[in-house]
Amino acid sequence: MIRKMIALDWRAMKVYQIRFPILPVFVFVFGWLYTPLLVIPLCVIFCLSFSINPFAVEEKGELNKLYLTLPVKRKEVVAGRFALSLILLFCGMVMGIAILPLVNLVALSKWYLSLEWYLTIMALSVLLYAVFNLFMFPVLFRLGYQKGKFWGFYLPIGFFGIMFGGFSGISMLPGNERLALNFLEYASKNLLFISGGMVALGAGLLVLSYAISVKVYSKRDF
Amino acid sequence: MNNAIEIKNLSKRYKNFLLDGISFSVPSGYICGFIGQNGAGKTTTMKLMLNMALKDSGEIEVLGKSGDDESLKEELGVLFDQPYFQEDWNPIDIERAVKPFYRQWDSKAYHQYLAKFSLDPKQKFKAMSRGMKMKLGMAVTLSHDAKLLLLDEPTSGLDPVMRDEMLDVFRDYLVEEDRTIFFSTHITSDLEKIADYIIYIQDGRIVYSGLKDELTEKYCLIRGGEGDLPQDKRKSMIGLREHTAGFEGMIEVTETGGFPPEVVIETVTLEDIMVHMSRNGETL
Amino acid sequence: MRIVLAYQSGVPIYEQIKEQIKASVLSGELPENELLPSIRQFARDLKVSVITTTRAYNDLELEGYIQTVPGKGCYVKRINGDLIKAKHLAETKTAMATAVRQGKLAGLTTADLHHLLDETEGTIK
Repeated sequence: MIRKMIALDWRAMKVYQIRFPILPVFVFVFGWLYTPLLVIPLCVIFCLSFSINPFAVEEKGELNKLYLTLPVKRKEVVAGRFALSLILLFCGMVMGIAILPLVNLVALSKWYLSLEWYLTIMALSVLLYAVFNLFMFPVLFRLGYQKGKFWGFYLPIGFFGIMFGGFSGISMLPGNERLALNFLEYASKNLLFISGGMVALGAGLLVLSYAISVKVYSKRDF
Repeated sequence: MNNAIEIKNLSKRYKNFLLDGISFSVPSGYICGFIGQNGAGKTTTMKLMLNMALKDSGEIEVLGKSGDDESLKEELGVLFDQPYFQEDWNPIDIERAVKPFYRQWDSKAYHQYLAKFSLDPKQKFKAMSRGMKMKLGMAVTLSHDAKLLLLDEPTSGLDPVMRDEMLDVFRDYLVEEDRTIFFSTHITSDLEKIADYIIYIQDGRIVYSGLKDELTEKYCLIRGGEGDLPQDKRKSMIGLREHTAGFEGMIEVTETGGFPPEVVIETVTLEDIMVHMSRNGETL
Repeated sequence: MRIVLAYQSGVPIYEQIKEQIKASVLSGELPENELLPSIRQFARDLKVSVITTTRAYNDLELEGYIQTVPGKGCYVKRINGDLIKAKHLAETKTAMATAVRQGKLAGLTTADLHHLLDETEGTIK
C-alpha cells in the first residue's frame, strides 16, 4: 500500500518532476562559487523541499479528497508521504556525495577533509533533515499547504536563524572566542560518536514527526 | 443487504452549523435523491458518509460496513462537484494513478467508457469542460464495479443536453440489480425524472424520507381569489402567500375539501414543495 | 409493445403503463408467455424511475396479467377472457350503483338517469 501511495504522490507531482534535475545543477554552482562544505546538506534540504510538493499539489487539485475516496487508510497516506520523503533524503545524500568531489575539483575554496568528516556532514544533514521534517510535516498534515506554509516553513527557518544568531552571539562574548573551535576540536576527537548521535537523534525526531502526523491527519476534517 | 446506506442519529457541529442527530435509510437498488437548500447539510452528510469529515456522534453504515472502513471504498463510486484529479493528468495518467488501489479495476471497460463518452485519453484534465470532467469521473467510477454511487451535485453547471446524457448514464448504471445511486442536488427537475426515493434535509434536520411519488402525491397547490380561503384552512396551508388578487399555497390533498369550487388545484413538483416549505420556515 | 406516455395528463405514469400493457395483452398484441423487459431496463427505456415500472408490474401481477419467475423475468399470463369480463362486469355494477345513488341524491328521475347513461356512453369511446 505504501508503494502505491508513493507512486500516487509522485504522479501527482507530475509538473514538478521536471524540476528535479535542476537541483543538482543548482547545488553544483553554489558549491563551486561559495563552498563545497554545504553541498551535502544543501542537497538534502532541497530534496526535503521537494518532498513537500505533494502537499502543494494536493491542495490545488483537492487531491487530498481523492485520497479519501480511494480505499486507503489515512495512516497509509501519511506513511506514503514519509516514505517518499525518506527516498528523497537518500537521493539527496547520493546527489551530494556525487557532486562533492566534482565541486572540489573546480571550487574556488577547496575543502580537504577525511572520510570521517564526510560521515559527520552526512549525519548532520540527516539531523537537519529530521528537524525540518518535524517542523513541517505535522503542520502540513494538520493545516494543509496554504496555511501550513507559514508555520511549517518560515517557523523552522526562523528557529534556525535564532539558533545560529544565538550561537554567534554567545561566541562573540568575551571568553567565548574559542567556543566554535573548542566544539570542533571535541568533535574531531569523537567523530563517530557524534555522527552516530546525530543520526540517532534524527531518527528519533522522524519517528516523533510521523507519530504526530498520523495523529493530526486522522483527526482532520475535510 | 437491504439498505445501501443506514444513518442513525448522526450529529456534527461546525462553527455556524449543526447537523442535528439525523437518521435515514437508503434502500439498495434504487436512486435516492437528496434535496435541500444550499447550506442545509447535504455536502456535510455526504462527507461524513465517506469519513472525509469526522462525526461527533451517531452511526453510519454504508454497504453494510462502518463508515470508517476504507475497504468500503472499493465498492463506492464518488463524484463531488468535480472529480478530484490532478489538473495535469490525462485519462491515461488517471487510470495509472487509481488502478493499483482497486482490486476490481477493469481497464478494458474504462477505455470503452472513454470512447463512449467521447473523451480524448491524452487530453489534460484542466483542459476539459465541466461536462467532460463529470463524464470522466463517471468513467472512473464505472470501471471498478462500484455498487453505490455517491454523487454531490453531479448535474449542476451542466447544460440541459449534458444533464440528460448524465441521467442516461445513471439509468444505464442501474440496469444491474444490486446497484444504488445516492445523489444530492437542488436541480429538482432531474430528480422528478429519475428518482425513486427522496431524502429532504433542511437546516440540518431530515424533513422527509421516503418514496418520491408519495411525497409529490401527498400535496397539491391551491390558488384562489380573495375570500376563497376559509378561515379554518389557514393553518393547514404551507407557504401561504396572499396578494391583492388572491392567495396561493400548498396543502395536503386530504385537506382540499371545504374550499369553494372556484379554486384551482394542481399537482406539486418537488420544486414547489421546496419553495413552499422554505417560505415561512414551515416544516412538513 | 407500444407504450406512449402523456406526462401532462395528470394520470400517474405507472397507471398509464399499466393500462397500456393491459390493453396490449387483451388485444393479443402481447401474446401469452411473452417475456417483458426487466423492470430496470424498462425504466431506462421509458426514462422513468425504477419505482414507477415496479409499481406497474406489481399491479399487473396482482391483477393476474403477468407473472414473475424469479431469476428469469416477467411473462405475460394466459388471459382467461371470461374471468376478465366477469371482473369488469362486477366493477361496472359497483360504479353503476354509486352513480344511481348519487343521481337520486341529486334528485334525478329514472328517465333522467337513462338519458344521462346514453349521453355518457356516447362521449366515451
